[in-house]
Amino acid sequence: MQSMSVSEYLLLNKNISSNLLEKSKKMSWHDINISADSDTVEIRRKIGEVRSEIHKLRGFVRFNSINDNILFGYIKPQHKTGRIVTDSFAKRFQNNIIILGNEKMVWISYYSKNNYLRYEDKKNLKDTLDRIKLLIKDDRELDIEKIWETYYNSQFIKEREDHNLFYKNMPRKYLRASGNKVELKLNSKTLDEYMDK
Amino acid sequence: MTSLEKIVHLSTQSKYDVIGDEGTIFKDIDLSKVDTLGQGTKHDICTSSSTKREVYQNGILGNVSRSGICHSFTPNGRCVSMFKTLFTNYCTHDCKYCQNSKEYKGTKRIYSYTPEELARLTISLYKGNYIEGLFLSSGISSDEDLITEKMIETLMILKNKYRYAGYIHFKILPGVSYEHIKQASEIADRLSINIETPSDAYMSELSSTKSYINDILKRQNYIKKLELKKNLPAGQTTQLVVGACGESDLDIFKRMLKEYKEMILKRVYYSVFSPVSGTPLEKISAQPTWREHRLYQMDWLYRVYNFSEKEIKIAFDDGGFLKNNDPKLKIALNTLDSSFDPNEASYDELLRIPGIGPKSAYRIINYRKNNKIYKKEQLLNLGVQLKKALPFLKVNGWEYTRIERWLECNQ
Repeated sequence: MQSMSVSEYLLLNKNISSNLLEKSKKMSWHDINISADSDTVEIRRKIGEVRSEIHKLRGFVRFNSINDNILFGYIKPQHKTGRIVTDSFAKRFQNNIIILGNEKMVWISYYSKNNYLRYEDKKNLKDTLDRIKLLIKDDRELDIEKIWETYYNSQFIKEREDHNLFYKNMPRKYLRASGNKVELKLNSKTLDEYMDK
Repeated sequence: MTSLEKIVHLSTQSKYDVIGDEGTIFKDIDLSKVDTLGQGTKHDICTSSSTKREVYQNGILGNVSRSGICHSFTPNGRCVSMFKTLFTNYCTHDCKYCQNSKEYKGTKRIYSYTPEELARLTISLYKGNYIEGLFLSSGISSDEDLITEKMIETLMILKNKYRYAGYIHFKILPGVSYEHIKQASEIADRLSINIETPSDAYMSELSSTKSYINDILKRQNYIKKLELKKNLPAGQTTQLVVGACGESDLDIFKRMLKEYKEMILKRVYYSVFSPVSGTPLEKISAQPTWREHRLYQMDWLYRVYNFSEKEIKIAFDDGGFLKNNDPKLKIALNTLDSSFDPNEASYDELLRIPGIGPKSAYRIINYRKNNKIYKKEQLLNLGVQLKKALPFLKVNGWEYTRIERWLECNQ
């Protein structure tokens, strides 16, 4: 985060006034951290929203894969974080194509030998995946969700059940935004939600 | 931006990823093995994946994070950041609280991974972004070195075959040789061996097969020596089972001090005892989870807030136990005679005020270089928890009396 300026980071927030943006251009990260001025505190809060979304998506996004090195997953960020999240995965999974998207937007990133190749389009994720499967003439998909679900359930300690803490740490809005299915079942209030309808 | 065709073409040229036909690898995997070997680690509390290691290389798979990432939370609200698993649940030790113990009377199937199988599972969960890394522990057969060799072989496959650069937490098994610990230290971010109890005497109540001094403390010392020679990126940690043998919180505190001062540990973890059916301790009552919470608060006061041993001891009752209330508040009520002006208090003094942590103390110190703090809203904007802090602060000449403070804090 520190490699981006305060105003660059603030611009990722979907809801930012021109007044705050102008003010942020003169500020360092240190200024933001130590100020008690109400506008600066508001900038800190808005940056916090973006940071939180990036952090949560980096944790909660789930990938399936096609042809070993094409990883795809669902994200629907509230802020303008799709590109930054996709790039962070491309750097983590070098030489793999990272495809993230939703019904209206797709971000693709590929990182190799210190270089990014990027693509994005206002298209449906599913249509883009179908196009890629045609291009590579391969439609095998690996889904290890069942293994994950088994492992995840193995970590539960009945005597320590605490759903309030679970809801606090895994808010539905982030589970939905990251296409996370297994844990979303636990955070569903209705049967339809549980059945992922 | 580049075209979709170009990116797809480049990726199909890359044959670096050697996992092979992923779609069929796990078709026949026994899910009850994943379940059983996963369950064997569920009482291990450490979920930190934060490490100082930097990853720069090209052509590798994965990286690490300085802040760590939780990829999920259990319905207990606990972070799941790693694939925490046993290599095998076969164990010849007789720890009375443990479901893998040879004294366990319930039905038990023995499972083991092969190193290749475990490495592939780890890579697949990692590439699915379910985990931040691997936490590898094991039951202990009569030959702990042999099991450790298999565990290290798993790490070697991850590193050499899959070029894995993600996080690794490796459990050192009691009694294992220095050579094996050295090998593990060259690959893992973090090494740990669980001390389980605060002393040799307590350990002998729980196990007749583990030597506290020779099997555990001596191995901790090996890790310390290795860490001093060559930095271990995420350091050494340990864990205690709290309340399985009647030990007091003060006993635990004294052990904690030794672990931090003498073994230079990065963290001590506390896991409250809950009885497992079929074990010799199945009739012993579970310990309340708040006990664990209060021990962590005490640990943080020492490690992060730099409270002295003498100050922290104020929080214990005559029997050596912490009550279910904030130890920092109890210490403050017993030691802070007058209120502090946030414009003048030192960093250490600010840290002793309930509702002020390292971050807000740092902000206050920096903010007041160019500003005067004269109203509560400023403190709120600097991250202070006003309700807790105000009884101990003097703001714009106004302060609580000592009686008012007691009344406010004991409501």
